[in-house]
Amino acid sequence: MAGDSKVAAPVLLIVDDDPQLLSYLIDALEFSGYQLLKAKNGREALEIAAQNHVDVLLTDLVMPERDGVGLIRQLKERQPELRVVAMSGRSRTDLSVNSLELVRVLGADVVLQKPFTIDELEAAIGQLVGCH
Amino acid sequence: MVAGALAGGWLGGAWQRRRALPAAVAASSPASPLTPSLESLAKLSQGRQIADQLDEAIWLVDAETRDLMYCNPPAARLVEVSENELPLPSERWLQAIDPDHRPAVVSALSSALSNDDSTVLEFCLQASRQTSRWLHLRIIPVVLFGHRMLLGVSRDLSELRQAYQDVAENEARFRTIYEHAPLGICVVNESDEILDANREFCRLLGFEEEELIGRPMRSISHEQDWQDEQRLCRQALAGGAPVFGLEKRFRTREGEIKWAQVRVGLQPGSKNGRGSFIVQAQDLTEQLKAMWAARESQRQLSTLIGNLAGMVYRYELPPGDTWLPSDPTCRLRRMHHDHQAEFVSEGIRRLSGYGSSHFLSGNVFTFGALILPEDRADILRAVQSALHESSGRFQLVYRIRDRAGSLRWLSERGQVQINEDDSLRIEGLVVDISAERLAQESELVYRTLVADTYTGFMTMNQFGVVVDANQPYVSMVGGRSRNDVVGESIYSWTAPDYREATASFIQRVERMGFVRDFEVEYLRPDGSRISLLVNAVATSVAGNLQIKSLFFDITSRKQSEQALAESRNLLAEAQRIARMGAWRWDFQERSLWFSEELFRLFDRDPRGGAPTPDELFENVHPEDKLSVREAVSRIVSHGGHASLDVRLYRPDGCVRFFHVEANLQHDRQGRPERLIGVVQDITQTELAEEARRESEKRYRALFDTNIDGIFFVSMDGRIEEANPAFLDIVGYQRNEITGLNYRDITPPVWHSLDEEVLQTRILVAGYCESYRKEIFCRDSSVKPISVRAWLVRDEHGQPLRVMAMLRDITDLKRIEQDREQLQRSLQQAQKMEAIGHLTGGIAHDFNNILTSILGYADLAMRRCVTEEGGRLSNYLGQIHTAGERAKELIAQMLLFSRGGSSPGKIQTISPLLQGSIKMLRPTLPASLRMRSHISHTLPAVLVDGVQLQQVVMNLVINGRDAMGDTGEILVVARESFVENAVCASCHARVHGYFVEVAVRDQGTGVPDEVLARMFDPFYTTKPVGKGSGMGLSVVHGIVHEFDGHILVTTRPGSGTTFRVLFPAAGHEERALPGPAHAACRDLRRGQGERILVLDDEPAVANMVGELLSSMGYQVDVITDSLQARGLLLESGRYQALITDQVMPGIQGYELIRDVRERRPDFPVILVSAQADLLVRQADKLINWPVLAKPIEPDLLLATLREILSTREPAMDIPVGVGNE
Repeated sequence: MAGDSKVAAPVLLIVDDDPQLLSYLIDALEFSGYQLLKAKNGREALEIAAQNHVDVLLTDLVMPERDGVGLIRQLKERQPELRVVAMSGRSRTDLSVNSLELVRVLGADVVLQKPFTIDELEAAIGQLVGCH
Repeated sequence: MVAGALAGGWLGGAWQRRRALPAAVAASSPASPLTPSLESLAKLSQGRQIADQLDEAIWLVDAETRDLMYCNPPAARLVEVSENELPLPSERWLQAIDPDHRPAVVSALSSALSNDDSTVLEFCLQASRQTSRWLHLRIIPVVLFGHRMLLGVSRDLSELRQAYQDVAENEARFRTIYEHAPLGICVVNESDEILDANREFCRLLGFEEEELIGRPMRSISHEQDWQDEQRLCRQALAGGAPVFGLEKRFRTREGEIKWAQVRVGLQPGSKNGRGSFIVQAQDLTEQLKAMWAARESQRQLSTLIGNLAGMVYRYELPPGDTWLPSDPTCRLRRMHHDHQAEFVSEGIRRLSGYGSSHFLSGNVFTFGALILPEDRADILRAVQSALHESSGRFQLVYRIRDRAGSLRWLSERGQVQINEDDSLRIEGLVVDISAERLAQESELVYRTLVADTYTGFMTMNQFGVVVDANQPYVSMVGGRSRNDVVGESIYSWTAPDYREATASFIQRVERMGFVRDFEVEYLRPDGSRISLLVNAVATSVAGNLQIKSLFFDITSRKQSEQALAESRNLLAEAQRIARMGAWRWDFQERSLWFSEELFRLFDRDPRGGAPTPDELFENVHPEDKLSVREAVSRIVSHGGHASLDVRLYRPDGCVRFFHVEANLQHDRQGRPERLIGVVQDITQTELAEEARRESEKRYRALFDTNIDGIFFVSMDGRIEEANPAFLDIVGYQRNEITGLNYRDITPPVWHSLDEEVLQTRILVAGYCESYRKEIFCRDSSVKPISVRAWLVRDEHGQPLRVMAMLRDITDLKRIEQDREQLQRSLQQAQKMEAIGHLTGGIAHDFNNILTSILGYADLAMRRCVTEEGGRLSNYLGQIHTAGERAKELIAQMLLFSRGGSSPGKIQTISPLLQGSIKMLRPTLPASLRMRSHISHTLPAVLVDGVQLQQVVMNLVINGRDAMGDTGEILVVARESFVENAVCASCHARVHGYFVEVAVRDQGTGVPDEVLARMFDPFYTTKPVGKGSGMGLSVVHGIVHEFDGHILVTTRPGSGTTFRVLFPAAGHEERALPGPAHAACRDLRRGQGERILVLDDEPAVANMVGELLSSMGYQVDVITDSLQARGLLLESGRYQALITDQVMPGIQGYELIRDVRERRPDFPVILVSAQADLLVRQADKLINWPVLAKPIEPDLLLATLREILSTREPAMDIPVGVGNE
């Protein structure tokens, strides 16, 4: 049973440069039934995505090395059916660029505004996996 | 049979051969369409006969096969075919045609056939057979015997072509003749413009052809002759003689006169007063010269023959400085003898001692130089008057000094005449009449001698030894008898100081023949001196020189003269010192007499004598003439004395001032006889006085026209005088202001400052720097002014009055206020942006933290549910609540920073406001009343509904907190026009139509210091914990997000009104487009253009970079503005720049300015949080798009496309773009 679910479980790649938030997201989604992969920046995420199949990308937008916007674009180019949940911290960057609009332009399916609740997070991912 | 024969006759054997029909068959079947009727056959036969005899070549070609069926002899010759070769297949006869022309012939045949109409063409026969024969061919489709044929009629064009060629050659030949003709030829149109001119014509006049073409004929003609010619030309045009001739003078390029025989012909085809003329000109100059030369020699000869004695001369004086023919007075300016002579006969040597070569052209020496100066004027006058006489004759007597220095009397007879070329010819004969003159002189001497027995007479030789003397002379030298003097040297009684002069006197007499008025003094034996006046004549007696002299005793005259001279000298000296001269005006003689000094004062030459009264009056300054006239008539009629000041022009044109005193003197009968008086030069004093008046005038002009107000105040504050500018400023009339006290027009608040400035500055330093104050105007308004003042002292140095200059600085103040306003507005915007940055900066981390806190609290609570004890759950609940509060705060901060941007929508706000008020009412204490006036006809505005409600809520809560428990809050929504207000939060100037939402409370009012800061984030007057300090900041953020403004009116103690203004959507369309549709998006794709993206925030720069590269641009992202500038200035690889405004290093605006200086149209987009401000502030300075933050990706892409396309509308789109 567990084996079946493992095989069937959608793979979720979580990317955030804030280690505490990253571990919180892992904790929050621990029992959600997804296979979780994590990366602490865009570069690492690209490496992981190159080696693993990913169904859903959950990423912060503003990060050093390779920010979320670039990451989304690059991964989407490689894998157009990839589903994306973008998390906006509404930082200065987000204030300068209409990032919500931008990530939609670049291919994000859902944008979550921080802070969000576990329910909101699960609903967002669930919706994407569902239509997947 | 006959028909068949005829048919065969027409077409020859060819027809039968071609058709393979026996002639009999053809003839025997009349029903056949091939069988012509007898009549037509007869015609045909005739036709053939005619055709055979025609000069034109005739061809008949089968329409189907194109075989040549028939050709007449001329045609046969052309294609070199004999009759029995017919029918000739088309490829054969076509060979006769030039290969290049064959297709044209073939297609002409086809087109004649298909159009069933004749066709015409020209072509050339094969060159090898016939030397390029041109044929004109008319092809006519015909039906012969019911068969379609093509009849060709051709004319040999070769001769015509030859004729054309001949015409061209003729033309060329004519041209050659025209060009090389020994006759000058030119073509002139009716407006006198030269259209063409041949070589000879150009040569004749010394012009290049291109200089002549287009030039008016007048410019190269003698004016008189040109007018004659014009008259004839006009007559020709009007139908008179079309050809006429005249002798005409041309003017060459060098200005010389050329005579020419001219023949002018009107060109055929000229009519209606228009047309051109052919002018042929035969140069006559040489001919005329020869003629003149002949006349010349004849004239010379006759002159010589007629006047063998003496000297013959001729002068040729060109028009110019000596005389001008055009001058109506025809005045000679110089004597003819002052010119180089054209001809002088050798007889001049006898007259002057100089050979003729001295006076001919090339020598500087003129005959005139020998003539005595005093005789010159007479000569000139005589020749001048001869010029006006028809005979031109004149006669002169004058003196010259010959080579030996002797004086000679000459008589001259001459004639003056004007030559054809306007030069002046003067010729004449000069003879020496000295001998006759001398004889006259000696006669005079003897007559005097006889007449006057007191005159001494003495004859001596050239050594001064007396030969003869009369008794008076003997007495003069103090002798008793002739023997005392005869044989003696005159030097023995000549006073020693006169001996030298006497020696030179004798020499002069020898040289000149006579000397007059020589003065000498003799010393007599008794020691007395006698002064004598001597006139002497040299005579020759038996080859020896004798000097005959007359002596007049002038001793007593000399003495009185000396005395007079001394007293005159004294007087003159006195006058000179006083710059005073004496004058006398004799009415009888109508003359003036001037003292010597007066000549000097009037700067006149005493030798010229005193002027006449009229002459002098001419020199009186026009403004003084009247007073002079009055003074003269007054003194003449009333007598007595007059004095007046007069301005006189001196000969050099300068004006001098004279004081004139005059006394009238009467004759014995009591009639006015003369005026005498003195004149004093008072120019110096008068000039000084005038300078004063001038400066007064100038000062007055300055005073009256100054744009600054100027006024004088007495030391006790009374306004003495004020200029128009001052009156303008204060609004008083001149008569109202004088007498007012300075304090009357100064608001009391400035009195102490004025007093202080007066005491410490003006009275101490004599002036004060400008300072600002205010002044009362007549209408009681107060104007801001700036004042400077100077102290005016009297001659003793005591303060007399104060002169003040003031300037209305109302405008200046307003400009200053505007500037401050703008400055504040900018500062505020920068402050707000900085706070926005700060908020944004912490928001990210804060939200991360909050996500964890809230999330973990959530996770913990989920676990807690299963655990016992509600306490832990309660604690976690508290954490969650606190987290939620923090989340609210951050949200508000972001709202202020425009982070929660929502595009809003254009809507009517009345329902929204009604809803808000309904929602708010329960939150207010019962003791507070809340009223509202919401207009239901408000125009729509662009706003986000939820955010508008937040604005109203925040303002109402603010009002509630300001009032405590009682009072009223009024909410009003209406349309309003706002004029020159200032936004309370962004400090920008506000003007225009708005939808206004006002919230008025009756609270304590807002003190100034709070007013300045109340929109700052976290600024609060409420106790700690009672307010976040974000309320008004959020209002500011939202309102400005939608281009709105906030006005605040407050009075301490009586409440505050916040007026939120949104631009009515109808008045100002929001430029931002709505979210783009997917379809539009592709239109915004790039075409590989290279774009530089600059933002100091790497993440922002990267995001924009990502956006653009995802849309097909090549992007370089950079975060250092200085580095960016270097890249942009050094390389031309970028096609556009997108830059942030606020950056370390240089700001976006400056960067763009630098780049645009190098590349004026370089496309740029400036991104700024102050976008609204920048656009408003400097829409004249900024001519590039400014995008507001946050950047709308679609808007950015659209704008980028726009600036790239407007810059390169004509550029080719690179190949390969279509493949993308």
